[in-house]
Formats: sequence, structure tokens, C-alpha cells
Amino acid sequence: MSAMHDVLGYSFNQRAILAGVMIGFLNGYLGGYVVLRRAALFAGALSHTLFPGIALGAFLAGLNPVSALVGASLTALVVGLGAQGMASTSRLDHNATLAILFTAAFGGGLLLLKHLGLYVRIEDYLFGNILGLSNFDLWFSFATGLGAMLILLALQRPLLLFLFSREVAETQGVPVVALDYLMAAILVVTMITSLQAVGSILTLGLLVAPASILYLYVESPRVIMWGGGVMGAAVSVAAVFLSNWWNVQTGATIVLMLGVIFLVSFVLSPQYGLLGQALRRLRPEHTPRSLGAVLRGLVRRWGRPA
Amino acid sequence: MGEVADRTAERSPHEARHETGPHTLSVKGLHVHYGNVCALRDVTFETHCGQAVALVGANGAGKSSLMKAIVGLTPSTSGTLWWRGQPISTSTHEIAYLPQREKVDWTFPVTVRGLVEMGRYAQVGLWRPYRAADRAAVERALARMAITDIQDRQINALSGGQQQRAFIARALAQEAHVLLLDEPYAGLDQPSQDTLTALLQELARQGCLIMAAHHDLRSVGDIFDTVLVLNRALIACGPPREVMTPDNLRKAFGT
Repeated sequence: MSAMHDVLGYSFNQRAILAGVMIGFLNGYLGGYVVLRRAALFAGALSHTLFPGIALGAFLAGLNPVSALVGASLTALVVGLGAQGMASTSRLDHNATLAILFTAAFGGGLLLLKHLGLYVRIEDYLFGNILGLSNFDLWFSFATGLGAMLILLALQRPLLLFLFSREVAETQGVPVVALDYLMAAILVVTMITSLQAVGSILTLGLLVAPASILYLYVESPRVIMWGGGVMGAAVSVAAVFLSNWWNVQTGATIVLMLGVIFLVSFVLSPQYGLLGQALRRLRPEHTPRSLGAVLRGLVRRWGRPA
Repeated sequence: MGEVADRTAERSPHEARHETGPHTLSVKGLHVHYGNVCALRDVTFETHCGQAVALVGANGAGKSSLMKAIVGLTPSTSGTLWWRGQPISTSTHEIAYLPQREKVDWTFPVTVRGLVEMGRYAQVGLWRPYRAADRAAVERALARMAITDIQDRQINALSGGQQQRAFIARALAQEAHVLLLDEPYAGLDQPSQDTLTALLQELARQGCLIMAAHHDLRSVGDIFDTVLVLNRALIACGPPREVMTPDNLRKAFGT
């Protein structure tokens, strides 16, 4: 108890916990859309364009959250649209053009930051520093997170149609192209918001992992999104405490914890886990419906005399 | 009097709107391009609800392109498309497009009922809560496709025939009048094919216009009453017996 008290005694820790709740929730919720849209690779490419975008923003208007947002949006737009355009006008596919453009932009950003003398802070941008957040950063996170959540909630019906089948949604009058851009924009804003806390590389894990984990257990998009949000928030807060006690980086702890939960789920999920599938193959008449049933099935199998 | 009201309520929305005679789908001078590739050239034909129309032709003959053009999914389209005397300029809930089964992500986490409820989007829009009328439309669609008892099942647990019927139910919940189906029979076993045929013919009798890309030339005449033979242009259009001549089929499939 006193260990917990120690952590909460510092204002930077209090801010880190608040940020963990907000950023973890927003990423986890939005991750439901990314996972169901099968767009994790696109999100990954986008997350790498943040860094050169911030360099560009800093070059044009100094290093601050607003210039970072504008710069990152610009590079994301150029790289995202450019890759799409090049794919449709050459024999290369979208994945190849995206990979070339975002790595080139990343390299350009590195050189630009070096040129600006901001090179020393690169680790913060890549891996984040949740303990270094100011009150302004918190308000910025809160405002952007709230805005993104309100938009996502308001559009949840057309978004569901869009996620399931873009083509059919379009015939039903869903503005699919606009939704594509809107989702990319919300992704960029969310990543920028998460940047200072978990960094441009680790933000991808916080975005994709919670929804992917839930996708192994449940069948409802709503549960995947809200549950992803709750998991993202809970793991982020837990990671603030753990990283304090172990004196390690918080951002890395968050994504590592999520990775461990994912691996465990990958094996133990009753419906879609390795063990559940194996048990069903062995005894098709007994479908395990819960984690407990999977474990009981295993014990029974191993306990049976040969 | 109550009896009359009941019977009206039971009638599907298509029937109710047919009192002024059949509605016409009219295509005139339709061209569809993908980049430099011409998928369809100068296609002109007219059909009306109550008909079951087969689109026949080799792969790449423009069957999918024609259906996609009608629902506005092709980027470069010229010519005129009219439905019920009005240009099809914007997407309308009266025309439903059902993609090939293999193009649909059946692992998506949604139940059969959830899938059918998606059809109500044009009616409920962004905010409006689901009302009794929406639930009734969904339940009527489920019942007509005989999938009421599996409405809570995940779509990844359906057979091919059930998947096809669930998608048709979505179109019915949408109150679609025209159903455009891309290869609905592909990959179905014989009993499922027979069920689907009975359902499609029933829908046509009730006043829907059914248009389907179809591969199996032997069964065309048993399922459909009109055939459009395509080969990047319209080769022939009419009743199967008149249209499915060796000459036309050579023009469609011959080298």
C-alpha cells in the first residue's frame, strides 16, 4: 500500500496515470476500427510518418504540439495519398509504395532533426516519456481524445457498414471515401496525442494489441471497441506503477504487457486459441466455451492414463 | 375490416408499390472503363420488376461491371441508367448489390440478425433509434429467407447457402426492389442451389427484379426467365430459349 502511495505522491506520476487512462482508452477503442478494417499495416506506416512530420513542423514553426500535429498530418497525407496514387499508376502495389515512402520520409526526418540540433530528444519521440508530460499536454490529450471519441460514436452506424464491406456500404449511401480520410485523420491525431506518452513506434502496439486480444475472445464489434478501450487504459495505468517500481520505461512496459497478454490469449482463448482449437480437433463433440473449460479439458486429457 | 388491414400489413413493401404497374430498369448506351481498359461498350436494354434476369458471359465479359455500374460503384461510367422513370444518380435503397460470397469477410464479428439490420441504414440513418417498423422489416426479411432460427448465429458459422440467404435478407430489410447478385450460385451444393432458386423465383413473383451473374449455362433456363449475354458488349437479350443459341454463345465464349 505504501508503495502505491509513493507512486501517487508525485505530480508527474499523477499526470502519467491520467494520461495513461485517456491515451490508453482512446487507442484501445480506436484499435477496434483498425483491427476490424484490417488496417494494422497502414496504421504502422502512418505511425512512422509522425516522426518526420514532427521534424518538419519543428523546422517550420518550432517544436510544440500544434506544429507537431500540423507537420505530422501533412506528412501522413503526402505519404498516404502518394502511396495510393503511385500504386494505382504503376505496377507496384500499395504495400510496396507505402513502405518506400514512409521509410524515405523517416530518413528525411532524421536528417532534418539533426540539422535542427534536436537530435538528442529523438528517443523521446520514438519511445515516449509519459513522466515528462505537462498540464498542457494532458489537456491536449483530453481535448483531442474527447473529440475523436465523439466523432467515432456519432458515426458508429455507417462505420460498421464501412468496416464490414466497403462496397456494399457505398451502395447504401455511406460516404466511404470521406470515412477513409476521416479515419486516417483520427488515427494521426490519436497517434500525435499518444506520442509524448508512448512514442511514435510504441503507439502502434497500444493501438492494435487490445482490440486484437479481444478479437480472440468475443464476437461483438462494440465489445471489441469498448473493451479495447478499457484494457488499454487499465494496462497503461498498471504499467505506470510497475515501471515506477522496477525503474524502467513506461511506454515499453505498456506494450510489453500487452504483448504478453496477447501471447497468453493466442494460446488459451477458448474459441480461437491454439489449445481450444486442438482440443476441438481431438474431441469435436466437446467445444470448450470458457477459459476454465479449456484448462479442465487439458487436465482431463493429461490426467488420463495412457 | 381488421382482416383487410392485417392483409395489407402482411404484404411486402414491393407489392404495395406495384399497383401502378411494373417498374422499369432502363440502361441506354452504357460504357464502363477501368483506366484504359474498356469493360463494357454501348450496352442498351430494358427490364422490369417481376423478372429474373441472368447475366451470362465469360470471365471479364462485364457481368460484375454492369451490376456495379447500376449501383454506381464503377468510377468511369457514361450512358444513362434509369429506374422507375428517374435517373439513378445517387445510391438508392431500392437497388441492392450483393457481392460475390468470396469477396465478403465472413470472419467479421456480426450475427445474422446484425447483418440483416445493416440493411436498415437508409431508413434509420445516423441517429434514429430502431423502431417497431424497423424490427418488423428485419424479422420479415429473416422469415422470408427462412433464417429466423439462426438469427443469433455468427456469420462465420453459416453454410454457403445460409450466407447467401442472409445477404438477400439484408437487401429485403433495406426494402430493395432490385437485387443484383454476383455469382450467387458459386460454391453452393445442390440442395442449397435448389433452395436459392425457389427463393429467387418467389421474390420475382412478389415483384422484385432479380439480376444475377450466372456461370452454369445448363441451369440458366430453369432459374431465370430472361438472359443477357455479354462479351464486353451486349450480344443478346431475351428469354433463354431464344437467346441461348449456339451462335450467340459462340460470340460470347468463342475465341
